[in-house]
Amino acid sequence: MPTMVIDGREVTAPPGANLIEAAKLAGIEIPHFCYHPALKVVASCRMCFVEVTQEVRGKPTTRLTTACNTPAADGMVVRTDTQPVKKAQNDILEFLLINHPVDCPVCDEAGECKLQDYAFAYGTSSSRFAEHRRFRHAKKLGSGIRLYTNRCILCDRCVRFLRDFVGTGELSVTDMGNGNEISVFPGRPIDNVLAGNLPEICPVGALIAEDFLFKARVWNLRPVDSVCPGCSRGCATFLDVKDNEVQRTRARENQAINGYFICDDGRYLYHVIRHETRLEHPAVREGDQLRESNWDHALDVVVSRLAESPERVVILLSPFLTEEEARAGAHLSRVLHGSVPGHVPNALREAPVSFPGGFAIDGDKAPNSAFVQNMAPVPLQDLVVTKDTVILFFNSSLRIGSVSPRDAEILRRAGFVAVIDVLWNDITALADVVLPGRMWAEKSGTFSNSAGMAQSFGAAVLPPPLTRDESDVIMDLTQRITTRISTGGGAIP
Amino acid sequence: MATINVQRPERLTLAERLYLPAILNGLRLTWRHIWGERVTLQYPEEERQFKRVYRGVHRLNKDDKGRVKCVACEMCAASCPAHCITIKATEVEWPERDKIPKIFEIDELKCIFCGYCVEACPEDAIHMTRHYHLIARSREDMIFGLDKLLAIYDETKEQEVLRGVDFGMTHARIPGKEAANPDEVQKLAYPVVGVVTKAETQRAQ
Repeated sequence: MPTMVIDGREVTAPPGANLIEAAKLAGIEIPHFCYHPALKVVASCRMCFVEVTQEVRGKPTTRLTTACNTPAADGMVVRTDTQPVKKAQNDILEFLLINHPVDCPVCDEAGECKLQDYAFAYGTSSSRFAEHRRFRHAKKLGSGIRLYTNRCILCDRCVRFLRDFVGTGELSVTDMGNGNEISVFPGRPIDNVLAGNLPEICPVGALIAEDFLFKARVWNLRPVDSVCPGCSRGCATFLDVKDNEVQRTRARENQAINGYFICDDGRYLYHVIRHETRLEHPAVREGDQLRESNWDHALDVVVSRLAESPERVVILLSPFLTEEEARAGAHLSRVLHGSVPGHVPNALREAPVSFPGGFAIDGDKAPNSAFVQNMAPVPLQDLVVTKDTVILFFNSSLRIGSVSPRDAEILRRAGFVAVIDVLWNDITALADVVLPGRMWAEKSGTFSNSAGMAQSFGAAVLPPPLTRDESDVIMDLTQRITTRISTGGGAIP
Repeated sequence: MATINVQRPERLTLAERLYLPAILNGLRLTWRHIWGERVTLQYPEEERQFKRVYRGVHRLNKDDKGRVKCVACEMCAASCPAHCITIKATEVEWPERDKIPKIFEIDELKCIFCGYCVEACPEDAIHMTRHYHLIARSREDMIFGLDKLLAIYDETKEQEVLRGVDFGMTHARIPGKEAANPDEVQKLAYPVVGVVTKAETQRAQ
């Protein structure tokens, strides 16, 4: 464990840490563009200059060096605020701004741009460059990523990310000298499921996601800590909210699960919240079609069917439910007939994917499978479902097709099916009562990933007015059923 | 118990007790104003003329091609202390810029007419005119949209109004376009690359 002094503060850094990380431990920020903790160090931007005093051949020597490729060593004395350091930072920024268009007002990165922040903190407000500035047009690189070539400072973070971390290597630096620019090979656009991370990795506004293009200025966004419901990996995310709408998803650092990144499937999953097939009111079957109804009526229909013959009721939980909802569902099942609920396994499974950088995507495309299977061990296919069976299915699935055709066939056999869901899908089509639930962005809860790691998340946006929280519905149902028992209104023993 | 001594007024003089001199004095003032300069305006037939920097109804300027000058950067909305500006941007494929407002709304009822939006605009796209007639039949009508704000520009095109330069800001800086007057560059709040003023060159040396 090397111990050194940074700006007069004694720091003990973990072995192998560089000076940027060591300084961070002491609460000192060393400005940097090209360095990223998940990527290889190239020391190309030269922004992280610090002054290091170290013993060289028995003599203490002071020199300027880049912090990112200097490993922390015992006895180092590091200064980040001396005149030579400030001069170096100032000069580097002047160089980086030579060709930068300074079009911050129309740049989506403004507000979270390192170049903007550092130019403000370490730069000057003028330039001595009198030649013609380079001008390049923006280009589309594929996978919804656009390169505003003008704004690029050639830190090559994106190139290293795709080459070393993702392993696909679509991007490279082409041409020489003043002609240097980031490009794809002709006819070979960016095509991988981690491409959405590029705008986040880019320290300036060069790589921009078309999904977020001109949608909002970042200072108007309110980030909410969330967990991705896209697969059983459970990546930590931020949902950035403005005007009660999720504007984008960003990765939230969690070294135990996702590191600094998330996959595109999870990143763009937020579009489902305002999807046109969103279930927004309760519906009750009349004849062969579902009629719009209100909560009181719909719950009364469900409770009367549940109370008719509680022993024939089957409560089903889906792996899209949170831990709290699964627990409440199990409680309702115990109140009704003293046994555990069943579960409908998620049918959407793909081969798990992993990347050279260590990132992995789980094959199970539901967020809470392990926990729900624990709460409700019996799968639907092992349950006896006849014409007399009454099914109460807490689905709330974010994806169409999460119930397998075989399970759907079993559901179709039941005499009565009430389903809580968030989208109109094949299951709501066969149900007798449909109750609108809420999505992960509209409620708080906990998901346990495939490794058994539980993560809580908060509500980001307000739900559609007639929807209700699943656990709230379960509580309401439990209360209505126990009232029936105490007033003798039902046949519950 | 505390005692407060109150100074009673002295007895009135005879002239004061008569009241007549005071009345005549007042009438003399009235008489003088009847024949003096008239200050009342016969509004709405007559209107008061304000100085150029009067902060009246906003307008959204058009560029030389008759298109909206605004680039939807939301600097005005960010600086607005009354939060009365709503902007939603959209993409266009124009050679010199790709972002324009799809929605630009100013709630003139919320607006406190401080002029910060004019000061903040990096494109000199928003001005305040000398119009002060704000008439509408409902609160919704007082939310001025893009079409209305551009129509106000057409009406007041010839008018000399409050501009960003009155706050020390210079005109727009679109990529590839330089400041018209290099001496104005010093006043810019953000770095200008490619234009060097004489004063800066001397400072650098």
